[in-house]
Amino acid sequence: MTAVDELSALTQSIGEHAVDAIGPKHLAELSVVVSSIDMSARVTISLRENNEKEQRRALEKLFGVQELFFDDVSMTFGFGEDADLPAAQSTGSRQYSYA
Amino acid sequence: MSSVPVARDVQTHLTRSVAHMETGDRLRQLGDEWFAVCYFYSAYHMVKAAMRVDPIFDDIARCAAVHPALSVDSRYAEHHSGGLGQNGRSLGVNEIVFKLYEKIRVPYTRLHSASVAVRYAGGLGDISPVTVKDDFDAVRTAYLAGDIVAP
Repeated sequence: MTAVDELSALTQSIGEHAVDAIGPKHLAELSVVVSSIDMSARVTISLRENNEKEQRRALEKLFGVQELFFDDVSMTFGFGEDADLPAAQSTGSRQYSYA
Repeated sequence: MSSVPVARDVQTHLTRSVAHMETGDRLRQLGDEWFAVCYFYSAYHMVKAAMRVDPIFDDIARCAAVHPALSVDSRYAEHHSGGLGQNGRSLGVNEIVFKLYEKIRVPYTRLHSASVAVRYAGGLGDISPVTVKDDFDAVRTAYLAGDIVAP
């Protein structure tokens, strides 16, 4: 498997774990952008009910995903639109999207 | 690496934390969303002040038991996030909070997200200013109670 394939697989896996952790019924959208430059992973979440209680619940679930991939990537989180998304257009990044 | 001198001691971190909080208070009263950025950096300096005196960073074995990348020098972490480079895994302040300070990891992470939303994205948007204040108060209360310390 090439490094690019590994990055794609890693990005896909983080995305799928994140969706499972939060629960698809709670999600409007979720995206993951992983950069090969520094192995950072930006997880952006749009919740169907975007309130404090749901954000807290989602974060607690995502912390489990962060722990799972802690040795692979440096993970950060955001809610709503995210200016980091264009980074996925660079050749050294991969993106997973759920909608 | 920036050549701008950074805070290196507890008192300087606390002085900057209070300054950012007071600016945040003024901006919040004006309805300016940049208060969220000020509150996050006030919280950041509180966490940095707590890290400077957390006994875990005096004990190599305790650090290593948490994660191989956590070391006595981690108390000097300045970047928000770490990463994987030629020297292996590094930990940023966000990740140290995640690993060591469970009591504040939700509000601290939300504050960071709010700060990013204001600086780089479309603004606070759906993020309520009330919850930003709540998150800041949660971190501040934990600091003042001496609760930002590794278990």
